[in-house]
Amino acid sequence: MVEQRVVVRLPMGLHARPATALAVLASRFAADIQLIGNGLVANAKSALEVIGLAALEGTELLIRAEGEDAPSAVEQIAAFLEGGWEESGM
Amino acid sequence: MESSSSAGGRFSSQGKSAERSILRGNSERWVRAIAASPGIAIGAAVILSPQKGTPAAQEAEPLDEWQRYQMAVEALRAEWGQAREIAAAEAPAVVPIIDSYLRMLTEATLKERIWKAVAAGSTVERVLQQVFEPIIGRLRRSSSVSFQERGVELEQVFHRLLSLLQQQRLDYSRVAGAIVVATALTPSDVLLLHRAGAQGFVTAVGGITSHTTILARSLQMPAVIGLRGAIGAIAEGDPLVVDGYTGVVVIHPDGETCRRYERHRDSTEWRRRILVRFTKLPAETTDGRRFRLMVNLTSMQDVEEALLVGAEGIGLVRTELLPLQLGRLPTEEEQFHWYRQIAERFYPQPVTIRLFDLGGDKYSYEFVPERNPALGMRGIRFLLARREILRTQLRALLRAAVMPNVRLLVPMVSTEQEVFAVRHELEVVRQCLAGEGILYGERLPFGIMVETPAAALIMERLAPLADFLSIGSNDLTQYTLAVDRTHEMLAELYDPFHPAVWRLMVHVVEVARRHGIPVCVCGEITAHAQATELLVGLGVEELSTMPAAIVPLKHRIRRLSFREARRILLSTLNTGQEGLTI
Repeated sequence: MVEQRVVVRLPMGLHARPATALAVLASRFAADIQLIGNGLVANAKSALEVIGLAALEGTELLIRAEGEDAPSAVEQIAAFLEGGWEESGM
Repeated sequence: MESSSSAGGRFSSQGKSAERSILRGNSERWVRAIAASPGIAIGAAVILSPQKGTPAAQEAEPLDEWQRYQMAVEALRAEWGQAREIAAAEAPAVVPIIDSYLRMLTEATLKERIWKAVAAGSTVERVLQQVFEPIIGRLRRSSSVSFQERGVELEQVFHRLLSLLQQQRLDYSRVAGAIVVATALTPSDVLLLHRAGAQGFVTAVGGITSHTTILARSLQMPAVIGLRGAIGAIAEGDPLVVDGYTGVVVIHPDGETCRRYERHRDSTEWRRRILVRFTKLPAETTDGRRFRLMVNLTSMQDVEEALLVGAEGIGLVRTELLPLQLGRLPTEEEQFHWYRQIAERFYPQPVTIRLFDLGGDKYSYEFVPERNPALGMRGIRFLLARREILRTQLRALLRAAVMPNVRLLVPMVSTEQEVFAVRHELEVVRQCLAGEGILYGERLPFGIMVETPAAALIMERLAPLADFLSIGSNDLTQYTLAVDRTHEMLAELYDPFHPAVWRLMVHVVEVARRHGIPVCVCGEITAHAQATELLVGLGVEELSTMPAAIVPLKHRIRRLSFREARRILLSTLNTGQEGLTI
């Protein structure tokens, strides 16, 4: 199992569009991936559960993954949350 | 059967509701809420009842339940797919959000959860409730306005899914020519209602940055939102006037009101449609030179107006608004909250926050009255003399700069030393915040305001210290011509077209170009129709003006040629060549 703490650095928080993009990213991996924060556990492959975290920018989240490609899953998701996703237009 | 109001044949309603109108009496009622999308709509109310599909209590057959679920999701997907097509043609900015919702509703994890629950004997409604309600609750309780709005939208989507499960289809045919009244509307609703011919809409909930609002503006549908409890006063078939300019809704308008609004509508509609089309077009000259048109914030209302006219950012936030309104200096928290809010509203467009320009004619209660306030303790001089005020503001600004669209502007610069001093203070504040573990923006673009002749003339030394420049033409004109712009008898001498002012501006722009930094012109001159050609010829990147001037300014820019404008500017200054040396 691989774990990593990150602070959400997306300026508007983990709202609809980045939540969906994150779920798409997570779904590419075989591992089971969870995002834990605000007292909740969310399946990272579910855009609904991710937006349900209501994670504002500055929130600390724990990424937990279990499975073959767990290390790269955690690495890529961490990079995403730490500002690797560009907001454009709306 | 006609409604009994004196508005006569304009409104028609089914028998039952006309009866209700008679019983209730025809007193006109005015409701004031949030103006979401400009325009006037006059018509009968069609109420979209909140679709609260009730979760069935008893257990059901797993396979039946699964099939019901499949059909409902397919119907929802078809509906949203239609909406997406309309959006792609008429409001492309909303397509990503529709895609998000589509994905959420059709994702594999949701399907698995529903299948497991249904196989264990639950009804579809119950499991959907278990999935959606906690999420909606958390979003609506969030301290972020945009999360709250997502919560409201998600709730509408959830309720639509529930009603589709009970095979309640929405009959859009009723809405042609009518005004739709609803608790809330999803983006899909707005698109489909527009296509079905609805004239406008009114909702109980809603915020100015919600997708519903953005869509309504793209589709040019008059809309008023945020009526809250007052929406209960509207009954099916009630005649309404919806004034999307002011946020007023009139229920049961009398003949006089109707006539007045009809006149208003007829005279403004054609002009508005032409002008609104411009908000979608870029501020580009005939030969392809692009300008970013931004707004000067002089009051809180300007934020809403700026959004409505399609401003591409805020060229000047006059932060001294806050202490002038409060009657005292604002705390760090108050400032942070305000800067942050504006930055969020305009994200990702730039928001230029100018440090307090206090003193001069704007703030004198703490000081002995000066003989020459305009030449006195104001702008950056005041702040450097009162460092605790400067530091508090810088702290609030740096914290707000977590939003990457925030940039800082220093007022009344006349020396290099002032710039060094502010940069030093910024560094000190950064270290404090880091030490306290408080989040702040790593990159904060640093701008210098050019409003003194001194600053313009030493631009070679100032430009390397700045990420961008902002020319304050009001003060620059005043100081260059040595004329008090508030002096009644000197009004003629205060001439913003005086070549001296323009020579300085041309010089500033040239130096800026050599250093690769953008220049903004903000000041009354930007709203002046005769100045547009000269400003275009100046070749700056950004123009910041008052909200009401944005659309006419864009209109003028689009009819000009940059090369021609530049030629005219330079020949007006009698230079006879492309550049100026001072």
